[in-house]
Amino acid sequence: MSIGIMFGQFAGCFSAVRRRAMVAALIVAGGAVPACQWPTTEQFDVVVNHPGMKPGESKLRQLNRQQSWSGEVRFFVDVNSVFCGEGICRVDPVRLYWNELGQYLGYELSRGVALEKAEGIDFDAADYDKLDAILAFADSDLKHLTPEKLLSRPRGDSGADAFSGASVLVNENHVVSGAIWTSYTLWHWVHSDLVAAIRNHTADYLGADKVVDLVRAGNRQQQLFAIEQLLRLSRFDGQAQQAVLALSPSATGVLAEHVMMFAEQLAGQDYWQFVQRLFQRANDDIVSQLLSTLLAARRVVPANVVDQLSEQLAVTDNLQHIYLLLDVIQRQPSAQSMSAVAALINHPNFIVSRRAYWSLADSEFAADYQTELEHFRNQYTDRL
Amino acid sequence: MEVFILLVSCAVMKSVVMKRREFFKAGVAGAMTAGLAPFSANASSDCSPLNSRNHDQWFDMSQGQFRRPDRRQTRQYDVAVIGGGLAGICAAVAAARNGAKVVLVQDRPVLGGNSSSEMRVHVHGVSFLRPDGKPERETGIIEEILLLNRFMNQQESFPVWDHVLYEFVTREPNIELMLNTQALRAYVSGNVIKSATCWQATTETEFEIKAKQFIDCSGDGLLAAQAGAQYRTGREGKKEFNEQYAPDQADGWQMGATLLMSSVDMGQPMPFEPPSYTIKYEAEKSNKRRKFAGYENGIWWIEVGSDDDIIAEFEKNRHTLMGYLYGVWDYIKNSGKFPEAENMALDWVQSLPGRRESRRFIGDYILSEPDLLNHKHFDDAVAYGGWSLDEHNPGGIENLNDPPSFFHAHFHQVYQIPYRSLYSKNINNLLFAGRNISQTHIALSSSRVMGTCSLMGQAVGTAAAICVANDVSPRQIYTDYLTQLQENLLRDDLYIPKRPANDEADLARQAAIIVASSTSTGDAQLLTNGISRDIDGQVNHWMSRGLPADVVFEWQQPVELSNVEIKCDTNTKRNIMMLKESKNDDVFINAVPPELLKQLQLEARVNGRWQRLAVVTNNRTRLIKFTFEPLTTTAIRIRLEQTYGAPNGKLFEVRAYQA
Repeated sequence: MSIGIMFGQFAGCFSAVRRRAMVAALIVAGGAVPACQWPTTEQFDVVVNHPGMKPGESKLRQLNRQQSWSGEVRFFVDVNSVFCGEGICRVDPVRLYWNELGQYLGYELSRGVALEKAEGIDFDAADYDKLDAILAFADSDLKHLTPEKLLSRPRGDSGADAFSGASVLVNENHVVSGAIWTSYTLWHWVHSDLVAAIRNHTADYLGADKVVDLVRAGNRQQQLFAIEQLLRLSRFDGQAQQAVLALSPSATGVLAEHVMMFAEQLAGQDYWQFVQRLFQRANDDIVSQLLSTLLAARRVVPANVVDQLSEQLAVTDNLQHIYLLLDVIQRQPSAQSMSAVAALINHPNFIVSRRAYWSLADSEFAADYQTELEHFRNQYTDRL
Repeated sequence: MEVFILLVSCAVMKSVVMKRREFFKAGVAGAMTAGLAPFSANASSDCSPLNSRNHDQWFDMSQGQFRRPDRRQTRQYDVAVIGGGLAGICAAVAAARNGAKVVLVQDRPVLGGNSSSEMRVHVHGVSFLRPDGKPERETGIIEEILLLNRFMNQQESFPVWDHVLYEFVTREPNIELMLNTQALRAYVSGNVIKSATCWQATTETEFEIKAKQFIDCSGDGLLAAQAGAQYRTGREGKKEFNEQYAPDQADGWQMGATLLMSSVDMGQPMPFEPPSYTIKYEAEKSNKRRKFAGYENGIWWIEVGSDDDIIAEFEKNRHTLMGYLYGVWDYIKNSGKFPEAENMALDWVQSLPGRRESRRFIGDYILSEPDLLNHKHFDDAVAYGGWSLDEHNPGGIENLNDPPSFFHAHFHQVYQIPYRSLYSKNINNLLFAGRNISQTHIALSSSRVMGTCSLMGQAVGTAAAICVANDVSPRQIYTDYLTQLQENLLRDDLYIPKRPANDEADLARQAAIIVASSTSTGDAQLLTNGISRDIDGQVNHWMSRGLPADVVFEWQQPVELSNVEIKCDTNTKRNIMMLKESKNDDVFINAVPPELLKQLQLEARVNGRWQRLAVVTNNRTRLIKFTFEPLTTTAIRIRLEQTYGAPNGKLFEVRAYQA
């Protein structure tokens, strides 16, 4: 993710910014681009909810999309630095930047503007750096705070005696000391409805086909964006499925969850065919999720799917998969799937072989495997 | 009333045996209202039910057989816990659950000490750590209590909290509770307390409490002092324990007691007339850190300390505190500086000051400031703290120049409390827990909060039970039974920092495989790693993806089981104590934690089939125990079915034991 502060080189083409002692390099898809090479191409209004807004205050904000001569894209919005809960803060204009995926890029101040902390003290270089890092951190504790809660928090070391009501500290790493309202206000702008607006706009601008291409060829963040947009656009055709399937061997964590969300939107035969192909191609994380979903949802799995799943028993050494597969098979046994189970009785891991033994012994197909079952029972009579 | 009326009727109907002069001579007048005939009616009278009474103190007094009430009883227990605050409750319950026969002696009509409705102090512990302000909340018995309160007292009433505690104690087998009873004297033989003489005011009864082990959780520690246990008071000098926040020279200052209050908005102007004993609050002289935020729920810095005998001065200070309390309220109501207070009126004022400090008994180790700030590791750690070094200024509100508290330092991680600070150095069967443990004044400034005291209580209660079972002294627990003590505490969900559990009897650790039906975070393999919370940046849990979810344990060889114990999630990074302001945010919750498991079941595989052993519905505890008839199995399955709101189930530990 790109973070940084745009600095003085924009002076010639845009309002000059405050230059900081510590200069952070801006990385936007290849390098810093002077402001004069970002001709504004589009403006549109977005409804933004910000917790600091007063009742009756307009929620419309003008979102600006810029494209450079080299094709780079960014978005920006002009906001006030602070909704001050205590009525004693100075308000300054601040420009916030995001990339096409709604990822925070940086902030910019107009010429002559300096941000202020408590008691009228200006930010220093370290404060500007810290503010930038704070704004870039999506999982901040500021997310959960409201202005009312902020007002009830103590300042400094007033703390709380064991006798008193609770007073809570704000995470020191998530605010600029002395500038809690500025930190709070700007963070909530950066991580507001504007992010979704940018992402949706980008997807609409690209078109669904290009979004599918991103699933195939993009980086992780782009892939996440792309699947999210396929879901929003309800694009579940063959091309989209192929792209998601191609992603499945490498998708982990949140991306794996997105693959599963995509799968869950399919219906009927589409869903089962997708599931079969996913089993063949996806990584362990996704296969585990898939099996868990089948069990939890108590879907009636088509017999051919169960048979195909049972083939995995012969090739996987993932204990969780084996257990989950046996649970799925046990619900809807068939001759073919039970044959695969029977083969596990000779598994080198005794735990697996015993599990397979009991699955088989308790099934309607037990009579077909009397010899194997009896042999196993006699061999391990005191370990069953 | 019916008996009274019957009494009078009998006296009128029958011949009165005793003449009035003889009546007074016999001294029965002190026991009966003048003018009433005593019920010394003829035993053959037909004034039932009095006919059935022919011998008891009440009857005997009326017969003139003795002049003064003289009720005495002798009771025998394994463990006597003196003091029914949260430390004492946890000590008593821990001892009882570990097999001891326990008496809990409390000198007030309600349990809870400083947390009771008489005091209304919040149950803080490690309520916030820097930098994120999140707690490292206590588990074990204190968490059980706080959770029970969330179920039984959704209205967050302090008087109801008293009775939640009453329920918690009285439902416990092996505990006898004695309220309104104070331990006055100790009978000591050598270095061993043989008995405690206790007076129960409501029944005019003197109890001689005999016990093998005594735990003084009374705060002031009268019994321990009476027994001759060494103690000290006041502030140590800097050099004695190398404490940077101690005064240069030792002195007698002890943190004071406080009176709290609460007020409500009456919806209309409410004048306030201060009483005659009011002491004017001199706001202009007061340190600016003496703030009024949240004054409607009480002001903690209305405090009077002492540099002398703070116990002997208690009544004098109580009266002074009342003067200051009303002086501050007068300032709020009538100074003009709080216009929003015009409609406010007091609806509760504390009468019994809540104490912070008096005696600190001497153990084999004196916990001090460097131990806390440097996070010293103790092999005998049995509890932890993390509240700030919240040392109040000497004198309290009588020292307006200084800030009300210095808040010397705040912690980023918890510190350990050693077992050796929890038993007497010179009395061989005496333990203590709470603000009276073996520690310096500066260490007390942090460890005195009730959540931390509760952990100490659970530790000493468990220790006392081990003492009784093995006929050893508390000191011998340290030398010979420390591992057993720590393992018991960990099993009972008391977290000991940097001390993973390693119970050799736990068969879950011998499982060949652990498999979960789904995983969103963590790993099912972590359920036997001995650490039952996420801490120090490490994940120690398994969390499912959705519910229902299973986790299966399988053994190579069959095992005989009769107990399975699990620790589920209650979010130890969020406080659950009752607050007057009833907060509900990322740091506090005023309801049942949604993460808590509500419904689950345990199965064992018997002859290849899963057999349900137990189902728990409406679960109310983090530590969930299944006890069943011993059976032999090669696998168990724990099925998580429902929480109190969270979409996933999370476990921190699974244990399995043979009978």
